[in-house]
Amino acid sequence: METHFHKELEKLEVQIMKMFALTERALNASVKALMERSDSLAEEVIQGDQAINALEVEIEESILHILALWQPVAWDLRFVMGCSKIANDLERLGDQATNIAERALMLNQRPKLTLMNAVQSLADVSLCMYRSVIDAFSKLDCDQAAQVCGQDNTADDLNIKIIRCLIDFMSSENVIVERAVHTVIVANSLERVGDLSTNIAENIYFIVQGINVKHSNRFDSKCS
Amino acid sequence: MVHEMYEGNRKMTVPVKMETQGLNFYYQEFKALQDINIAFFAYQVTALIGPSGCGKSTYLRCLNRMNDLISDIRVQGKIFLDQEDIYASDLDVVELRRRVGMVFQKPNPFPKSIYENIAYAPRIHGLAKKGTQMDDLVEDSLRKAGLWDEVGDRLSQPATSLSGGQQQRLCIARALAMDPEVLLMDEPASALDPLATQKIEELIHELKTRLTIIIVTHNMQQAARVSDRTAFFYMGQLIEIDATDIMFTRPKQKQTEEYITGRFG
Repeated sequence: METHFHKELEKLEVQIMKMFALTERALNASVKALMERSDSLAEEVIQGDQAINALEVEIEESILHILALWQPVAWDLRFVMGCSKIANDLERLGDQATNIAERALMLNQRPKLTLMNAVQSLADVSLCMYRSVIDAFSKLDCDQAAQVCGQDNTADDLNIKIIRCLIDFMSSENVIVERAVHTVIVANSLERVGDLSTNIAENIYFIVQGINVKHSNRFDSKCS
Repeated sequence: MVHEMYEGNRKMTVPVKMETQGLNFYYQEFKALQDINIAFFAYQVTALIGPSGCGKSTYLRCLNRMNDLISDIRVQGKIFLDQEDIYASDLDVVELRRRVGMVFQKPNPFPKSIYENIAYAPRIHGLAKKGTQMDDLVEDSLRKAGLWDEVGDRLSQPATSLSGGQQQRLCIARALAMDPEVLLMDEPASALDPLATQKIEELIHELKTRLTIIIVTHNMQQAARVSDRTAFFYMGQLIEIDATDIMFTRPKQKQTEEYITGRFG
């Protein structure tokens, strides 16, 4: 029997999926604005962040309503708590898309750095992690969530490589300092996309298994 | 007797006050309880939950042999109170019920004064014989039940003049007057309003410093609020027992999860 409470949970799930979709669109567009040097696309991403922020507030209200009226327990409680944290991470992912778009507006005014291929590689890894975590949430699949966490080191390593290269460039060529600083910020934002996708994956694991794997190495052993 | 358990990686020993081992219970040919094994830890509250007809009240009434009053019942297995078999032939059932008190779903005060409700059983048992001992016992019991401040100045009034919540606390005071070691509570707040329910729940928190409490409740939030451990019964079987915070956040059995989240059946 489907109760009103279960309908409330379904509504929450739909809201989270909508936030996943808006954030995915923003991240893809921000990377495209950077790589294809499109100011209009960057502007769209910056404008679109308000919708993501508004949805986070809407989800917080839904969660408050569910907690106050239904006092969920067990799986339901974990789902509601997990969604609360995921919504928070999605809002931050939206902020990262905005950061990248703002840097794109700066970088688009100047000649392209040769290093942008490496930035594209980092974007590919981070966006792949993000797409996987959407899939993991829609299926509540903790094995797939574990795989996302496993990719985080790749994103971290690529970010470090990019920053080292940029430091080398800046040491030899003063003229690129401004562009290099903006690119460092972009690389850090992309790396944060990987981190936040990992956070979401950990919350999916918590919803399904009831085990908190944050700040530990337990994820690999539990899901292997 | 002690029970060994783990809190994280730390091994703990917990004293066991009551225990049932392989308990089966029959109403004529109907097997109402099947192989129930539970250890009740001293000075803790254990909640028994489950759908209507699952056997939790039957099980509760086994613990002080209240079911003996029903004809055509049969009990198999062992029930221990401090390692003493409560179905042993030489056991004094009246003394057992003094040590294992009971509070029922509906308040059931005697049609007597507030004072007499408390004094009745101690008088029969020959307790508090001298001077003001009975007065002291009545006051002490009412204080322990959190009722003294409300009724201390009208002890001669009929108990039935009290509100439902006060009557239920009077019944708890009446049980406490016999200085029980275990208190069985069968849905003690189900007939009460939210404020009276809150008072009963606060009382349970206070009483567990002196007693072992076993409570049957249909109210999931109440079980979560008042108990240290929760046992889930279904169709006469114990499906799962664990620390209450585990049961209400990550129960191990699917049936438990489905019941407490309302997806049952």
